[in-house]
Amino acid sequence: MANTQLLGLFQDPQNVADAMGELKGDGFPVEDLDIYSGCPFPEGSFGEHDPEHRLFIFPLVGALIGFAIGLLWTAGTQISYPLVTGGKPLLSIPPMTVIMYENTMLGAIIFTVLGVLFESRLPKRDLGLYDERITEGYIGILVDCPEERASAAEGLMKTAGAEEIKKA
Amino acid sequence: MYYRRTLTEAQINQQLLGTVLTTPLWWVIILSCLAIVLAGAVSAVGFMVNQGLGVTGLRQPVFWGFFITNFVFWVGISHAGVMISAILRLSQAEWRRPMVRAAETMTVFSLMASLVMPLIHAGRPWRIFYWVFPYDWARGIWPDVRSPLVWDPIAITTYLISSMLFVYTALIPDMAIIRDRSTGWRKSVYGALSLGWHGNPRQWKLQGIAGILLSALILPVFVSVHSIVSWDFGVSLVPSWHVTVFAPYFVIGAVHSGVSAVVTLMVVMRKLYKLENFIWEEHIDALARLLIVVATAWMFLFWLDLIFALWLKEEQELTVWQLRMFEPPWSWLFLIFFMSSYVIPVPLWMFRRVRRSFTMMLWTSLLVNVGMFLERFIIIVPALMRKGPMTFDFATYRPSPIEITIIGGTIALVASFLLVFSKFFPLIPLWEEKEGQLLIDSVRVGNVDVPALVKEH
Amino acid sequence: MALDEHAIPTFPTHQEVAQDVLERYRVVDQRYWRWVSVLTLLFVAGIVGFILRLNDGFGDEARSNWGYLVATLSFLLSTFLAMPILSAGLRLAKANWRRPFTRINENMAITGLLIYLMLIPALLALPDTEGRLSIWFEFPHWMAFKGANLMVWGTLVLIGLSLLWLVALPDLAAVRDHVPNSRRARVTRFLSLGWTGSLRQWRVLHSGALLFGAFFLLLYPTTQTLMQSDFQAGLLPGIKDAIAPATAIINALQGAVALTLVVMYVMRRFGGYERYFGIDQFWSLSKPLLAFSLLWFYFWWASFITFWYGRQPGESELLKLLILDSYRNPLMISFFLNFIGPLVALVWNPVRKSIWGPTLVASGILVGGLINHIRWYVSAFSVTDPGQHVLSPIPPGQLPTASDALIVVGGISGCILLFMLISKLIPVISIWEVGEGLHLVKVRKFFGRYVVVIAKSH
Repeated sequence: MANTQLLGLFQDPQNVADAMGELKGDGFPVEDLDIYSGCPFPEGSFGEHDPEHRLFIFPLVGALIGFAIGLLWTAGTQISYPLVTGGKPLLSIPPMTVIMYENTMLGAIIFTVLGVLFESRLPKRDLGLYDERITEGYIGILVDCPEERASAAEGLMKTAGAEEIKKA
Repeated sequence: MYYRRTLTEAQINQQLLGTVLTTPLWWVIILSCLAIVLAGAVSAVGFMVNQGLGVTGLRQPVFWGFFITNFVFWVGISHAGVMISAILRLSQAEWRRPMVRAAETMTVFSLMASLVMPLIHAGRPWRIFYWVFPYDWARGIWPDVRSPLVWDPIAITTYLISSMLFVYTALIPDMAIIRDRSTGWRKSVYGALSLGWHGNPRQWKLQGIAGILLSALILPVFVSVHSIVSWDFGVSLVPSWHVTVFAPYFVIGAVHSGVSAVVTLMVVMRKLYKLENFIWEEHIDALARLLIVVATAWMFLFWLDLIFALWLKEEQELTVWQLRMFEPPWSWLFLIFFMSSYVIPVPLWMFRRVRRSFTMMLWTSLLVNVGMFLERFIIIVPALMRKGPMTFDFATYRPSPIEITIIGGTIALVASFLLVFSKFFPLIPLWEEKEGQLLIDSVRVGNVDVPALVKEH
Repeated sequence: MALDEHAIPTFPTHQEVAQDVLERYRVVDQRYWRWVSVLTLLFVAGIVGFILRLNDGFGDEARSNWGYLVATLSFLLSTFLAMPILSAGLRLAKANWRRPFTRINENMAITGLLIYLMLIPALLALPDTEGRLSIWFEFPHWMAFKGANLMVWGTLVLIGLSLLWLVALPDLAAVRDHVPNSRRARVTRFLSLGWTGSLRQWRVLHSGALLFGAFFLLLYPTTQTLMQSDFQAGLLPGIKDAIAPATAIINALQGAVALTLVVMYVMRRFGGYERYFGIDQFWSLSKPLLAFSLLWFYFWWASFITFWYGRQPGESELLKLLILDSYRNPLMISFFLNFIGPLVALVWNPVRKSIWGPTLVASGILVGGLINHIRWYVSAFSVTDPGQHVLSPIPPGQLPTASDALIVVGGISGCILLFMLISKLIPVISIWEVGEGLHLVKVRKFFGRYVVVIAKSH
């Protein structure tokens, strides 16, 4: 059974919430419904699927990598050319701590950003079914459904107040 | 804080994308003037490279002067970004919204300006590569990781990369908006930069988490950066520099000058970009109240520095402070610094009328930064002038026209960067403004509708 | 439509809160008196320990005997007497979540009376300023550190008590109006000063609360500066640690937040105050707790790295005394309890967003804080000659004697006792502040879910 996509465009957020309720009530799985908006709404405003993510792993991994790199090059450079400067012993922890700390934080931050992009499923080459009015204040409901259910979805969204329905 | 819902999403797009989609004449004029100043500064650098560091005021033993003062100053200004953006985001202060991006980009460009200073200060900048970059085959030795002068570039680079990533991540939704408003090559470029952003709940949720998480991660970096800069001085044995309080003193001073710079930027932005619908009296009022707290904390740490400097009654330390506070011209500079950084602005900020006046806030914030530049100058140079115990080692320092030109050039550099940035990206985050307006509500108490906000959690 | 994802928040009314709090106030049960008796016994034991120490006098040779008393004094200043800072600071920041616990912070101002009394023997134990370093620069001692300390500390205590009395006026009036006639009710009637709740009175109260709070916030750093410079730095030869007062202030903020969490937990668990001290309060306080724990390390590190790099003769001896040798073990314990433990635990959202998580961390912080204060002050008081240029010999770590243990326990018990006594005079939940907050909150439907809308007062 081939799937198709529909994008319903709404101006009033309440209509979006109503449409989502109707679609879910009619048996459309919530995972197959997506919302496009030009600004963030409080979670659950439209009864949408609560996305799960594992973002917390990324800063942890990044921090560990950064820490390892910091330890490697602070310890490594001192071991390679052991030169006591200013009376400070070789491999003394206080000065190494500073650089290791900075590298740890840099690793955590870089990996956090990579994680955010990854979990956001970005970059995305093709925008797919989309409308530029979404960034002008319109809210879109993207329905991913079998072809034979497309007309039902279209009808429900129109009843709820969709101004336009675009099809893939 | 009085929250006002005034504009539709389309109106927000139209007003905030004005300079991105069109090029006003004032923008060209100001950029041209800044380019002239920059050209002068570049010429001064070229002259100095050609003639040597002798054209500056640097003499034995005063080898750190205006350039290093400027370096510390710009690192200080860069602390505005994290203060406004990260701390206010974590504390869920709604009034941060119009300022976050301007503050964050000012951070990035200030850090770039600060990084330029040690390069110029070296006199022969190309030799920096032999010293900074960690390879050993040219010299037979790695950089000394136990030196605070090695910690410095690492910390500043970490902060710079982190701030750039922070700015970029928060820019993605706005670049999607510009993508949707553009055609031709612009659409392709913004499309590529926005990475295919749709604005679905997953992406918005992660955008929100990114803001909080990156804020929490950048905050420790922000504290460490200026602390490490302070340890360039603190871990040395130069009289009046070897002080434990330097780290928080420098950091809080940086916040003081940085937030003042944000006030300056907000007032100028409001005027030039006609942002009256977005930058209100309440914003600068809130910034002024924040500045009162920060300035008072800074003053407390200054007094600790002074009291404990006199504590051990060491002759060299007393000599330096004597020079700073009682011998002209340093005594005059000290007086100007003290008055400009605290005595004049803070009592003025106690008055609501002053806090809500854009003109007054502009002048007081500029005054603060004059004072804070002098503060760094007074910390650095007199200590070196009296570094040795013997009076025949005492020296004087006077900045040369070359140094002054180069310092002016860094101001023009940061301003130019900000102007150019505003040509391609909006200085006020569109999606944050839209979200802010969405969350505005009111609670009826008796006959009064008290302004309120929707709280998600 | 189904809004099952997000439960609809509900809030009590102002009247319900007032009735509940006054009912708890009216009832003084056996469990309360049992705890008061235990605390009184411990406090008396502390007095016994103090009297035993008095036998040795206050001379130079007996100075090391007073280290633990001074450490306890500093610990109490940095925990119990720091709590009004939270009330003042969060009121200035207009944080709505502070309302249920703000009275706990304010009631703690009463401990200033005991702390002030403890200051007197601590001052007597200090040597004259002549011949040693001090911020008084050998100014005549009776006017300098003794007079100034008594004045500054006294003013701090007075401001704290004034703040408490002022913000408690509306609730004292509530007690006056609703609690049956008794000696306690007569005292509250007197203290309520005839409060009626007119517009003018409320305006004055709000302004006064902000003013007293600001004064307390400004005076507290001064007090900590005197504590650090007179009782620690002034006794350690060669020390020049400008950051020490700032470190003490940050430690105090950490201690105040930690103690607030612990008191909230105890009141929840044993007092039945669950509806007032919920996840919101614990979660909101866990964030500054994490921040202050990070700052604890930062301020310690700023001091350490400067001394470690300096390697000056005086600095090396001080490092050996406070960090590397004599008091290394207390530092390690304190390091773990005040920094590593809170960092590792509170970095996780599930731990921060719980009742037990922040409470456990806070308990550790309080223990670590006490050990840290012992490290600072017992070491300083064990130095035989503060007038030296460089510390020599380096005194070994000093364990507490039985008297010292009694003084520490007695001091802490005394403060808890005072808090329990005042909480049966002034309601421990601020009825008017919680009520004010309830007027500024509503729940409404936000498209497909319910949200809480919160207004800011003033």
